Amino acid sequence: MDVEESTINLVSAEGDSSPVPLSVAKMSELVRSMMDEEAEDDDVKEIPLPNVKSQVLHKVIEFCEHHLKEPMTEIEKPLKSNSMSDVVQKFYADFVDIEQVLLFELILAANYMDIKPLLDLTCATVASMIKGKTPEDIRTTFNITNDFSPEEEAQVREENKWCEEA
Amino acid sequence: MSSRPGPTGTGTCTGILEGLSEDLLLKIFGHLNVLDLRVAACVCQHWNSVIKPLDLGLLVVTVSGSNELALLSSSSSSSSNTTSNSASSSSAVIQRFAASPNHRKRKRFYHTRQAAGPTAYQWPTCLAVGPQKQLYLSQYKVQGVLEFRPCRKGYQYRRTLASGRNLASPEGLVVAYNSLYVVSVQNATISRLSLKTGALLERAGPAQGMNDFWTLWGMTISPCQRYLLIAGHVSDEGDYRQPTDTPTGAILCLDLDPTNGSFQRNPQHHGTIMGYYAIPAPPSLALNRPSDPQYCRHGILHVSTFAPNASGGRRIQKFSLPKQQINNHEEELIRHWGWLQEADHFHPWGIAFSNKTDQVFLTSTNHGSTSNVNGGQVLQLPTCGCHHLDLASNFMPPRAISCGNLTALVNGQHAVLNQPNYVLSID
Repeated sequence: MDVEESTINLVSAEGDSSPVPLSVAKMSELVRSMMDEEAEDDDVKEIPLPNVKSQVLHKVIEFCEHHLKEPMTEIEKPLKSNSMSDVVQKFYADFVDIEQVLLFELILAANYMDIKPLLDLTCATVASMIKGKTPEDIRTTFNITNDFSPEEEAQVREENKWCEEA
Repeated sequence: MSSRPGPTGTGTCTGILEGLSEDLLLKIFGHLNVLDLRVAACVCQHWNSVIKPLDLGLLVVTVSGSNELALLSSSSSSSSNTTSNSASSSSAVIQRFAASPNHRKRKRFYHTRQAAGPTAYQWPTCLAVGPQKQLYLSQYKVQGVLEFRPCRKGYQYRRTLASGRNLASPEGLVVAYNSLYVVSVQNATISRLSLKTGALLERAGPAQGMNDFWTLWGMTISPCQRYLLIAGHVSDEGDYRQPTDTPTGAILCLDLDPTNGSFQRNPQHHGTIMGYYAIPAPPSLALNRPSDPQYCRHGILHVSTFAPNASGGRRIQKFSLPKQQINNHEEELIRHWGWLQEADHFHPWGIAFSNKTDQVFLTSTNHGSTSNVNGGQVLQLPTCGCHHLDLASNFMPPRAISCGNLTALVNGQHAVLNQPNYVLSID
């Protein structure tokens, strides 16, 4: 069996084990470094990922598997559109068309597992939900509390003033 | 893409985004342009604290080759290093928009006229910003000044503030005293207009004794708000992209009444406007087709001009003027400090300075440039270097002053900006 075809088990926070090809697992710099550290230990077959829930890990694996087949287009900064389908291929736009809770957990997982393209995609998706909105719209979208005092808010708005519409 | 569940949907996630670390928020914000970041800073205290240290400055550049304006981020985070000859970056461009009135009939007229001959060109030149961040633009085609208002996407045309033969070939613009001061190259005059209505308030020509016809270019106002300073040279009918045979350039000065911004009048000559005059300068200055005079925040005047040698290249000279009594015509008043070393190879034309930092912004074309780029560039220097000058010293020969590594906000290799002309910094 080729090295590329061998698999390793990624173990979620719940203890669920997911076998994945090494090439997929190594998209995570965290997994790669853990494997390198224990390269001499032939018995290493499992990588524990205690910060990643099973549902999130499955999404991460789905992303990595597809990325090997069809690498994601590099996301141009700043975003030119607030529709991710204008920014990346259809698979990736559909991939992040998910509930906010899962999206944020994917950000945390991508950051923890150090998977740069997934982190770029998920962060850009959140940015696309901010782009072109007013502060009130953004608070509503993400359920953020306005913790400015009226005086503070007036000052911040003045400091960042661009146009009345904003 | 379908809409995601919000706070009232099944995917409600109260506070999750607020709980993201500063590093992750910065990764998200890294995908937003400056205008969106300014909005995001107003969402909550945490976001504000993360965004506040970021550079939210903006630049506007006139792009003469395509009769456009470009709104850019002044941040160099996405820029490319000119010395590495790396790939072109257009990511700093937030918006490009027509430098003309956006009436359909007028546009068709322009295209027809433009096709009629090379003299019927569009020619956006100098810029100024108003108190509500309105943008004012000198436009040759309308023989006047266009006003653009800020909007969510950047700027949009609002009105033609003023036009007519009095303003033919408009160049330098200054906003001050609720007035707009406009240079007319063709008339060799400076007009003062009402900023609100565009109505002509008064016009100034050359002072008595200024017998040559002066070609006027960019204009600025002194930090004390008492003088308009205009780059000019004796008219020669030559190609503006080439140096004149002899350096006839000068910094011209027009005195203002500090109480209301009107032009100073001479009570001994029936209250007539005194007019602009050339500030005496040392021979070492040798300005040749100076184009854009701008003050840095250290109070040093910078002027782009052809270099005094025969290289055909342009450079940014820096000098100081006394804070008062510029109109003492008898004394040598300009003190020449040197030039921006790193800008020398990039044929600089327009200059702008950040009001909040030491950053310098330059426009550069390939006319006579020793750089091998095809299109225009917008360049950034981290500092003007003036903080190193000992302004109290009695004598120091002019010298090249290092201003740090020059980076391209917009690189010219892919001709993103065709003939960038003047640049304006908006903090």
